[in-house]
Amino acid sequence: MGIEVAVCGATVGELAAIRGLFGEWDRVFSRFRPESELSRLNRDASEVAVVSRLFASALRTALSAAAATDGLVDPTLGAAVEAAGYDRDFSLVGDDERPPGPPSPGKWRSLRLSGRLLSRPPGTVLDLNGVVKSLAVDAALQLTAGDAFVSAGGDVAVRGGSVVGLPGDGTLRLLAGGIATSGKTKRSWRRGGVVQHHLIDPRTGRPAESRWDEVTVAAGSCVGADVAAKAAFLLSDDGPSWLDERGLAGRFRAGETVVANHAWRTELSAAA
Amino acid sequence: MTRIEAARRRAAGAKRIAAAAAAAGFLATLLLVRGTHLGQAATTSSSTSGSSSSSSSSTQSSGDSFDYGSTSVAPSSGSTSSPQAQTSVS
Repeated sequence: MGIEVAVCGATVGELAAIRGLFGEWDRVFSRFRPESELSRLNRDASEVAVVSRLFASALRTALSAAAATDGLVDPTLGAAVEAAGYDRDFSLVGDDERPPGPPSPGKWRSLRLSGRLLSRPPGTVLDLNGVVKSLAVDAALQLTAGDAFVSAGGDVAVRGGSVVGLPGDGTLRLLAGGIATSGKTKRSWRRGGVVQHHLIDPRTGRPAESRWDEVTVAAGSCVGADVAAKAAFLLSDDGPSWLDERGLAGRFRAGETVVANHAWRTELSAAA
Repeated sequence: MTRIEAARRRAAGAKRIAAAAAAAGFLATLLLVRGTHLGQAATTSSSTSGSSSSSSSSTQSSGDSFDYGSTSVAPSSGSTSSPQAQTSVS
């Protein structure tokens, strides 16, 4: 997946299994491996395809997330993120004078998944990165028996309590579940002189225009935190209240300004 | 009726049965696909292979609802305040 994975509390055998898990998931979901299942599926012109159990499971989660966020977290934004310029491993993405490609709004409702049978309109380019990394983190934690944490690319899942560093500064103790941060500060570049980033707004098919640089959410699972963080980022000013409506703790950064929603403040003060 | 005519009638009948079975199979497949909600997944077992089993009970695998789970955090304090993990934008 091109990310750093950190594990604490795992046995040697568990660590080997976790390493194998991330390798397997990368082989299935990588946008940049031509032989990955995702890449082959995106090249497949047929309307109906049979996918692997792993792929179906992740896509099922992605569709549930899309439904829960009213489409803000959408697995059909592969074409949009490529049009913005992120069409290769990020280490190879640079500024380009050419303007971005045409926008490609999300169309998650056009997907139909039944068991392992996937139907999608021709030309649909799937990208499950909205859930795959955090799902892998959750799955990796399940491979450990005792108190442990797994961290991959900034997404963290914990059992038994761990102190987690926050973007910018500060720490908190994550007692259980997951914490994830979404934002535009790390993966950004220029196309035609305009700043692009990887968080596509499905409503426009373009990189999201959010007032936030980063949004951190803690939830009952890493994928829950990840989905909520993305949705809250895309919702901009409405992000804090959206999280509060769901009882989720969120921390929002814009430059040097840090805003914590009511649930975040309540959770951290109640436990003090 | 000659033996050839009888054989032709049996073959025609077999062809009609085969065609009906194929149509039924296609219809079953069509209904299976259309039986799902738009943009969602039918509620089926979602076992994954090998080590990539479904994650914690908070992760939703049906198409009906996504469960974020509950936040469980506390201030870090005392001698254990050094971060063990780091959340960041990836």
